[in-house]
Amino acid sequence: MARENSYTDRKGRVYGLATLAADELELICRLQTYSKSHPDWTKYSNYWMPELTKFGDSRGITRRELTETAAYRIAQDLGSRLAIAQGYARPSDYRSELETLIHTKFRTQREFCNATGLSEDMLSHVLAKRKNLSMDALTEALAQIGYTIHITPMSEMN
Amino acid sequence: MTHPRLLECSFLIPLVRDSHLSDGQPHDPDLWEWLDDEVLWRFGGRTLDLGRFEGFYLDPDTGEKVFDVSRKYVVAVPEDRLDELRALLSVASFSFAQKCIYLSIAGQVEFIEGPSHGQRE
Repeated sequence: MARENSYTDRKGRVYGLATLAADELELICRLQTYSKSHPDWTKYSNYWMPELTKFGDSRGITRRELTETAAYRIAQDLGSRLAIAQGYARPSDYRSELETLIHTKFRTQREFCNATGLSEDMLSHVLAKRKNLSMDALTEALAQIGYTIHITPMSEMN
Repeated sequence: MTHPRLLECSFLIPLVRDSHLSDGQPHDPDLWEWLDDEVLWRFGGRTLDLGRFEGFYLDPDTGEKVFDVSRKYVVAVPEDRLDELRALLSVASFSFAQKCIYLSIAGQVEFIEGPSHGQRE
C-alpha cells in the first residue's frame, strides 16, 4: 500500500508517487480513501474505471496508454485487494500466476510449452498441484518468454 | 461520417471456475484485471451490474444441474465489432475455466464457448 512516497502493489511492484503530477496523485489518494471505506468490490469497480477514463481523457492519452499509468495500476490493485478480502478472488500464488499468464498471453498450454521449453505433461502436473517446478527450471522457462521471478516482503502485499 | 450503431451487450462471468473443467475455486485477481484491460482497450469501458446473478443450467456433459453466481458486465459495442467481443469472450471462457459464457446482444442470447476445452489439461 502507500508508504511515504511510494505504493507497493500486491505483486511487490513499487510505484514512486513523488514524481507524479498533482492530478494523478490526487486521484490515487481519492481512490485509496474510497477503497479504505470497504465498498463492495463491484461498487468500487464501477467507481474507479470512470474516474480513470476521465483522467485519461483530460491528458489526451489513449486507453492503452492509460493502463500503463501508475494511477490505473494502483486503482486496479486496490480493487483486487478488495476482491480478495471479500472472498471474490483468491490470493495469487505462483501456480495461479502461471495459469493466468498462459491463458491471457498464449492461445493454448501447448503454445506456452513450446515457447518456454516446459513439457506439457510437467505443466499439467504443476497446475494440478501434483508436482512442483524447481526455482531454476521455472526461472529458465520464464526467461524464454521475457518474464522473471522476484522476492517480495509479505507485509508489502497485504 | 456515419458512426456504426452501438449495441448494448451484457455477459456473465461466474465467480468461480467450473468444477468439472477445473477446481471450482475463485479466480486469480489478475484475470479480472486482464478482462478490465481488454474491455477498456477494445470498447472504451464497461459498467458492472451491482446485482448478484444467481442461476443454474444443465451441464451437457454430465447432465447435472449446475448452480453459479456471476458478475454481469455491460458494454456498448459498435455493431460492426460484435465479433471482436465474441472472440474476447471465447478467450475469457477458456481463461475463466468455463464451458461457455452467456452473452446477450440487445436482448438476443448467445453462448460463447472457449476455443479449446480439450487443451486445458
